[in-house]
Amino acid sequence: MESNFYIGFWQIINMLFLTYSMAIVIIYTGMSLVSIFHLFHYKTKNVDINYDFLLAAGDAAPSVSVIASAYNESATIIPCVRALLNLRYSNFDVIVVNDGSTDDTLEKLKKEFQLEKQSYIINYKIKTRKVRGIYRSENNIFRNLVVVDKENGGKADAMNCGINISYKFYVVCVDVDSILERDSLLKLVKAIIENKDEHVIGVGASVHVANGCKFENGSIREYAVPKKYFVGMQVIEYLRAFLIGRISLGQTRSLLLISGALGIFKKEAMLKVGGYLTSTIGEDMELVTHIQEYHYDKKIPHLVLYIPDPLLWTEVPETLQSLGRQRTRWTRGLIDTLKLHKRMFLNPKYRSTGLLGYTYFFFFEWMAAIVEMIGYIYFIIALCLGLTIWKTFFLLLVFMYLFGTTFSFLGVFINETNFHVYNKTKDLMRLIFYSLFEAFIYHPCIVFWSLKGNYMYLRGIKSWGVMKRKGF
Amino acid sequence: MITHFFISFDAVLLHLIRIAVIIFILSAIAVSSTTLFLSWRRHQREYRRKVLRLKYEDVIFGLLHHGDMTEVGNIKKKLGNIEKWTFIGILNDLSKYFMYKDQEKIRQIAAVYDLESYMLKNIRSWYFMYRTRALKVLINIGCTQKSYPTLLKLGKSKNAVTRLYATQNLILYGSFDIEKDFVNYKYYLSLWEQMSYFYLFKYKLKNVPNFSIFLYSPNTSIILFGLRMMRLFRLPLDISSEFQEELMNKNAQIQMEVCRLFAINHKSINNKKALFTKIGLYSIEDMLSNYSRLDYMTTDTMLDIYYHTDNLSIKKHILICIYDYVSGGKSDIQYFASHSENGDLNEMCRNLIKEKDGK
Repeated sequence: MESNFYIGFWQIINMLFLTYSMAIVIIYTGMSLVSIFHLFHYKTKNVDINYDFLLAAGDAAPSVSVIASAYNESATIIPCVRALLNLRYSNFDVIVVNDGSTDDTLEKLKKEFQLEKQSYIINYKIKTRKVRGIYRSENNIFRNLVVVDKENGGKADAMNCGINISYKFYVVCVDVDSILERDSLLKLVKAIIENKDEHVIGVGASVHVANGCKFENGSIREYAVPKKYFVGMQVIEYLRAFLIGRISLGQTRSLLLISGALGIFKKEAMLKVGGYLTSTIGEDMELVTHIQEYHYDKKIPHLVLYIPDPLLWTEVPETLQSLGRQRTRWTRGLIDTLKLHKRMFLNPKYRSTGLLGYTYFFFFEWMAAIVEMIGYIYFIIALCLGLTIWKTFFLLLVFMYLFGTTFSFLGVFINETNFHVYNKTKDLMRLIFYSLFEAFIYHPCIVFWSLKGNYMYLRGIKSWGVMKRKGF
Repeated sequence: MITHFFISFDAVLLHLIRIAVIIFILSAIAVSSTTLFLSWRRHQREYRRKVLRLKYEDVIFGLLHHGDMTEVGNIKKKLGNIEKWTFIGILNDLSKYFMYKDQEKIRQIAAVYDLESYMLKNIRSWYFMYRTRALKVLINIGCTQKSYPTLLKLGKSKNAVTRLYATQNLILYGSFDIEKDFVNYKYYLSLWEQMSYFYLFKYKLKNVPNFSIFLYSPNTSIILFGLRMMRLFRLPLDISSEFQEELMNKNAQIQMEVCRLFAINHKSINNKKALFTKIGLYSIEDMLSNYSRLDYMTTDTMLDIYYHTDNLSIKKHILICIYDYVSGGKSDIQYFASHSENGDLNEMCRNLIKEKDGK
């Protein structure tokens, strides 16, 4: 009788793990199919596209402000701002918000772009920390650059300040430690204006890893896969997340996250929700979720889109310490957003955003690490107790590893067949190698940091942490 | 009983997982090797195209450089059979730089290889990508009577992309009357399509059409199209105040475009009250910011709008615009703030000056 009970108990736990694993397999396979199908359609629609239409349109093209916040970005600020000023678009300005940097970020900007302080009144549509000064260039070449110097208030506060300063209809939020492709504004704006009645309120795009690439005058000269193990692993992760995850979520109208590193928003939509929430560290996800929630609540027709083109190259952490800080922060931001907008969970009022998007982030982004950890503990106990079910469990682990590897290969495959980013065969070989070994050291670290993020969230730790930049 | 069930279930499960493991080993190998194979094939193809392109460019550029188009037939003698898409790629790139008067040269070169028939074959393809690409190419190499029936049919396609390029071809062919046919156009014209047409009108047509006739269309997207084109071509807006009011009452987008067009024409909007009825607060603020940055805007013009609204938020924004952007606006606001007259203007300006150094 007792032995029956034990076997039944272990089998039920086995079943739970199996169900979760199968759900992951089904969801991710579905997502992959949606992504592949959409990419095919996207590529077909945009074959030989001529973006010169928009360039020729002058001020009839939708007006855009590119906002970048900078906090102690002395190492990267100049090439990044140059890259922003070199964007191909006819109706835009660049607003760089110096968020109370303690290094020489502002001085470098002043010197490089011949900035002069000007007298301005700011319409504080969103409340922010005090602005110390607004600078514009004396040199006509940099006439579309505005530099705002303000007291430190965090990234969200700095972006809100930029939104207050902007007088354009659309706002592009970028990370200043990143390099944008020169056509990125054209591609983002096209996604907005090809839709009917200006219903598009936000568009995200793929972000790729810049480490390992070669730069010249604020743009990428040569694309390459980084040689360092932990950086290379992040390339795989980004390919998978953006080329499979985000595309499919965007296609099913259930996108809750547009990367803070690059996204275009209708400014009116941002202002309606009060801009970025300063009290959270996951401000990018919170903003998109909030905008979606607001529009569904008010029954305003809207669209949040995602375009697969790799438009932004970002510098990812190279040290374990920085990577750990970034990942714990992402986890805390995720939990915070899910908690703040919990009424969307499985709520049909929010359609696919609540039913699919929120559920996906809850079960497969937040809970995945927790379930995996419990699984490892369970496996060790089973092994210690000498239970026969460990065979099943071990095979399940092998199966999940192979599935994960295939999924990573698929990310590399999609990237190669659609965007040909990495031109050298050795880069492709490197990516395949990274895909094979991701599960062994990198993935357990990610799980650990995710759990640490959960722990930190419970303890109420809200710090961002410092990330050292190597610069471009 | 339970034990038996679970043990047999366990066995089945083990078996299933084993199968799944084999499947995924095979798919992992297949996906990675396909990636490598496709990459290798792409490199080969790119190299071949690069070589061919250099060869074709040499002949085409030589002909264009010497400018004697009577020798166009020599291309075939020099190149023999060609890889059509590489050849077309060069013509496509060239057409970007060739205005309407030089387009004929491109057409002559394309005619040597009868590229129109090849494009027509692609247009009839079931594959959307081939069709779209061919329609775009046809705009640059020109079409004749033989493409007309197909283009006419595609001009009514449900797909906006197909419709756009087919209509552009018909415009260049001369069978689509821009002024008449657009007024009665029943499809929605997105801003992207409008910009695409603008490019065509600007670089491929000899004469600028009369866009003011678009304003009388029952299709609001065509009215918007007309207003935008008039602004881009800097055309004068000559409409009665009654018709202006009718337009202002259509929708927010039309209202904004009418205002922009008036600004370009240095004219004042008669019905300022209507301005604040349809457009959202934030859009009005953005529009005012853009307005105030126009060179000829003065404090008086901005104050004229100020006195036509009761909305304090808009009033405040107008004063900020005067201070930040209007020439001489800073001293005007300071004057209003220090001048001790009654009314909200004085008080609002004083508050603004206090806010100047941030909250």
